[in-house]
Amino acid sequence: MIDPEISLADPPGTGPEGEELRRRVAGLVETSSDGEITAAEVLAGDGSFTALGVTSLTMLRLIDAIEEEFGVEIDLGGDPAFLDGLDPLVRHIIAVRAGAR
Amino acid sequence: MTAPVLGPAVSAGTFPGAPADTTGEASRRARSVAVASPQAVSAPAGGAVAAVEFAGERGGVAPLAWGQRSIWLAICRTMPDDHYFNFGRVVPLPAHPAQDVLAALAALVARHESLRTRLRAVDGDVCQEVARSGTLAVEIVAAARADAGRVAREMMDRLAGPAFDYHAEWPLRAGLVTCEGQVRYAVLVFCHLAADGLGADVAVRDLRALLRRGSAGDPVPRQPLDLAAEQAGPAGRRLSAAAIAYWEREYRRVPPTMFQAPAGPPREPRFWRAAMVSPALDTAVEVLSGRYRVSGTTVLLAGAAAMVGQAAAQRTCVMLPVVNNRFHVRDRDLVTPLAQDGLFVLDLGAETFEELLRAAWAASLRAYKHTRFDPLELRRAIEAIGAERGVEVHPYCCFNDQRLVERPRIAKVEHDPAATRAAVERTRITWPVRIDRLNCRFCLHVTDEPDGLGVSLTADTAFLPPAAMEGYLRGLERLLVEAACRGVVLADLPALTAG
Repeated sequence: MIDPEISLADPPGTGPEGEELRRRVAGLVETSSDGEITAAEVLAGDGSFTALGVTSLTMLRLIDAIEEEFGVEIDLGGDPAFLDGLDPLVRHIIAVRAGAR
Repeated sequence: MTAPVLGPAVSAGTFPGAPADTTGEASRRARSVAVASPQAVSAPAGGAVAAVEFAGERGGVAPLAWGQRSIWLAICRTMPDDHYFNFGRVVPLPAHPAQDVLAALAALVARHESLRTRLRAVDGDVCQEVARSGTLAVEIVAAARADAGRVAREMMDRLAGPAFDYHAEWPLRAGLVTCEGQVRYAVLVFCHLAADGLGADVAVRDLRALLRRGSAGDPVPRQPLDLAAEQAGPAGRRLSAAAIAYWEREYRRVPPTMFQAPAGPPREPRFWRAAMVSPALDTAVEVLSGRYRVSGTTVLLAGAAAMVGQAAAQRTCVMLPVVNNRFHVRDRDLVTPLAQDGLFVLDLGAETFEELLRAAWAASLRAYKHTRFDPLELRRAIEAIGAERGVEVHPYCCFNDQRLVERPRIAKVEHDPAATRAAVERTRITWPVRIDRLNCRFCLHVTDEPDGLGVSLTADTAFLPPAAMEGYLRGLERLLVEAACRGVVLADLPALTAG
């Protein structure tokens, strides 16, 4: 489901849009990990999923949750470097949504 | 990724060459002659059989859910050796009177509809039919306390021996072992259509809860009948279509199969299993998992793929990992087979094992994301691609991590490479299984064993003779041990794993 409140006025991943998305994705990480990784932890560090101990299971659930929440398809073809951490993932979501419009 | 599936699981997904008789009717007729009653697994002399009446909330008929269909296709391909798919659990219990355990069993079967589901033939196909009520025969054997565990394990092996009569027999065989009048073990043997390994563990958990406090909690909100309805709906069809599109893209470009040419005449029986137990591999996988922050499953997938590339002279490895499909909370308590095949495609062009591991992680995510599909639709799609390419496309190469769910572990501070290498001396390989038919050429299973990590390879001896099977397993061990101890350049793999 597309959120019309989020615009592309700022460069991808920055500004109010990026901050809002970061918070929402961090919340999804918390849900997807059954609370083992909190949103605060995701937002506090450098956001590296590897450093946070994000498992593949959590990652799969996170991908499902992002697809459902933002109405986008996360294509894992090629090198999914955007799954390395919060900021690359947020930038990727913004880019995919921009491409879908 | 952790995608373990407990219990026996051969590749259970796509079978382009499945026999026309997908109802299993011919086999059923033949079996009915030999097995006169639905619970005709013979009890030992001196045993008693209790008739346990159960009654659930509802009955019903529905198409097979995707996981059931996957197993059914695999069973049809494996008949008459389909007893291969039976598996069981020996459940130690605090002392209970037999009547209490029998009542708990009745409640268990009432709670989980899959445990009272049989197949019904409909228009040349099969459906699942849930019985609202019925009677389960439970054998009860008395044993001396010192022998009870062994008697229970023997009971499980015996109950798991004959293939199920899928149309007539309940999909659960149960027995109790008593000592001095009290039950000390329950034995459960599952038809794979009723549960996968994780589902069986849910059933065991619920049996214990029913005995301990008379309840296993709230009723199960989704059962296989509901699952079948969801999968037939718009969301289910979208999910399946996306997964099948991924398989189609990959199947158009990958090598048609992994092991292309027979190495020689097959042995008799044709399919052998080499089972390795290796403490060194256990340490190596843990070290690599911690060092690179990936699951042990990913480490093993990467190593297994590299070794398949070498054994089969392939630059791309295609494997079908069995994926448990219990990613979401709503699916965790389902007693039904949810596992389906993933499609794992890994380009083996990396320079080092570390690089390969990174690529394997990404490839495994792609595989796991596309494991929920209608197996019949996928089979049709794959057959069409086979027709396009003029060759059957099927890797005949599968991977099944049957361990419990694990998390990445922090690398041991005190990893001693010399000790890890020395531990290789304690590795043991046995040959526990030889059968005539199997729907695959190469099946790798990973298990936790008391003495180390278990990796077994069940293979077609025409393509991998026993010496090559043993060489594969020892090579896999050496690759991962050396990767943990000093790092491995993949160009060195042939020399590293030779002899």
